[in-house]
Amino acid sequence: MTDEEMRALRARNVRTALILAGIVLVVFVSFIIRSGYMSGG
Amino acid sequence: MAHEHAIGGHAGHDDHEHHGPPSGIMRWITTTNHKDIGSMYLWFSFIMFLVGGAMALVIRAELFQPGLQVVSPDFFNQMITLHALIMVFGAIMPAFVGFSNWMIPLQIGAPDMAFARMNNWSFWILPVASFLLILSMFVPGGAPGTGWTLYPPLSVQQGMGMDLAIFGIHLLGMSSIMGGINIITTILNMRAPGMTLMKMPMFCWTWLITAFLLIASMPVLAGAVTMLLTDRHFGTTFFNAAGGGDPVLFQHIFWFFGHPEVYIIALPAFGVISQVIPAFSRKPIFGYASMVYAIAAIAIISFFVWAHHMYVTGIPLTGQLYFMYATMIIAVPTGVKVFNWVATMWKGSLSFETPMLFALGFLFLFTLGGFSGLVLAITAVDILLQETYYVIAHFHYVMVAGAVFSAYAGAYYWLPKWTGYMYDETLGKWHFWLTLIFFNMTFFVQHFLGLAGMPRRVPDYALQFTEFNMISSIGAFGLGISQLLFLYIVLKARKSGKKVDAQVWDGAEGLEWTVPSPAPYHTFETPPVFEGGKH
Repeated sequence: MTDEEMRALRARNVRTALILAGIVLVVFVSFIIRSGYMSGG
Repeated sequence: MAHEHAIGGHAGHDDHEHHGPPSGIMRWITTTNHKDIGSMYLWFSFIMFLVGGAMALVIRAELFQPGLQVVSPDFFNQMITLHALIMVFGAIMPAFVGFSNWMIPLQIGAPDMAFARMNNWSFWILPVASFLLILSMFVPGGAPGTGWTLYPPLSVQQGMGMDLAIFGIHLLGMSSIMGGINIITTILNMRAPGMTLMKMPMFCWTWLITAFLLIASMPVLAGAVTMLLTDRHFGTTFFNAAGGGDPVLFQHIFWFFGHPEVYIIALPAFGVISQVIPAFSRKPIFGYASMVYAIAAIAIISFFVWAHHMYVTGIPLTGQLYFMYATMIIAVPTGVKVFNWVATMWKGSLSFETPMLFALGFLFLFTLGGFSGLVLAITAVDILLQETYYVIAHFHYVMVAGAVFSAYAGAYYWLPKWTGYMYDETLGKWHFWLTLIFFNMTFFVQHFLGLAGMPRRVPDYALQFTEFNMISSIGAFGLGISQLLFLYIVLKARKSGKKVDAQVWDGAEGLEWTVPSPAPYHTFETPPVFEGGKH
């Protein structure tokens, strides 16, 4: 694997991980906010 | 018959370019190598398995006879909670994460996991989290006595041990989420050329879907325990009716995580079984595509059945009916998998080495656990059996005969690849039969106890339950002692086992069998070209 290919792979890995981390954050925050509304704000 | 060939990038040829592992304790603390981290996960999970098992034996010792014999009711409740948390988060999950670390890069032809340093953190968070859980026993008020479900209002009222447990669960969740991100990224981006998703080994498929379950469900648990923490210390009333909150809301949130969690454990177990049965049947897996779709279906449906744990909380009748039918639907894709495993063996050239014995044990007993799950899915029946030993029997058939049997099948199957040495087959078979007999002795009778109305999580019971409890307790001690045999078998293999070739099992297929045994420290630095994998 050339250095350029390695760099491209790393960039793709970071992109994938950021998308997944975004999903985690959205799920975490949305459950707390929704629970806040359901328990009377 | 499918054939895989690794062209180029053969592991053994890469070694000369690289340093080996550093020596001493720093190797293990600083390692970013997926094999080292996989080994640490596996050893850690086995140690936690023994710790959680010892707690189970405290419970069974207390229940050997009616009346209060060995521990106080409060300590009994603490053991109930810690046994569950340690077994689920410290033993079973890390065991399969250990398999994933070792085997996913080897099976897809990747040099390592996508984020090697994050992999190191994922592991080293675990001992800290487990330390917090165990430490909770030694603070004023002791460990949580709520059971692993941590239901309020009790969990809001408990002492400092609950805070330690909450922090421990936060850390365990972080570890799992980082692991999930790592696994998805590795599988999606780092497969060898030629290995399309539908040519991947089934173990990788199960882990890909499990990792998505982790990503979607662990933040829910983290949210639930965060709200518990703020209810305890920061004046919020998420779960406090006096402030407009609702304790039942916690149950909804917990089980929205809790039911997928069952499949986070079960799916990788399915993956291991889907590797072992074809290898010892000397046939490719039957219905590869249907297996993949079944795993995906199970994972998706698992998010829509959570309230079958809550039939007696006063949910509306239509809600009960919906959750009953939705739960029963899971039996369809699960049935597809069981059918396919049996069909794989049909007219195969079967042999019964230890991994296959554990896989067959899994097949019979996990199916039995699935059936008792169907019984409990029926609302009218569950209302009677809720909080009885029938539930304990059901989920131990799923968790022990399902997950633990599968972990043993995988450990015996891949141990020669990891260590380069074959284990003692006779002792392996002894381990299987002792585990099988003592497992059933412990848990089969609990179905009868539950049907007769014995409540769970209570250290005392009515006299008519005595005989079955005695049988169960004797079985539990036998089961616990038999597991030490596994430790001896592994150590004996390392010390005096017969050396093995790259292709340990003649019927096994996949890239992992193209690298020498033991697998070199660095493998597939140059990606292999994957040819074959027709299913």
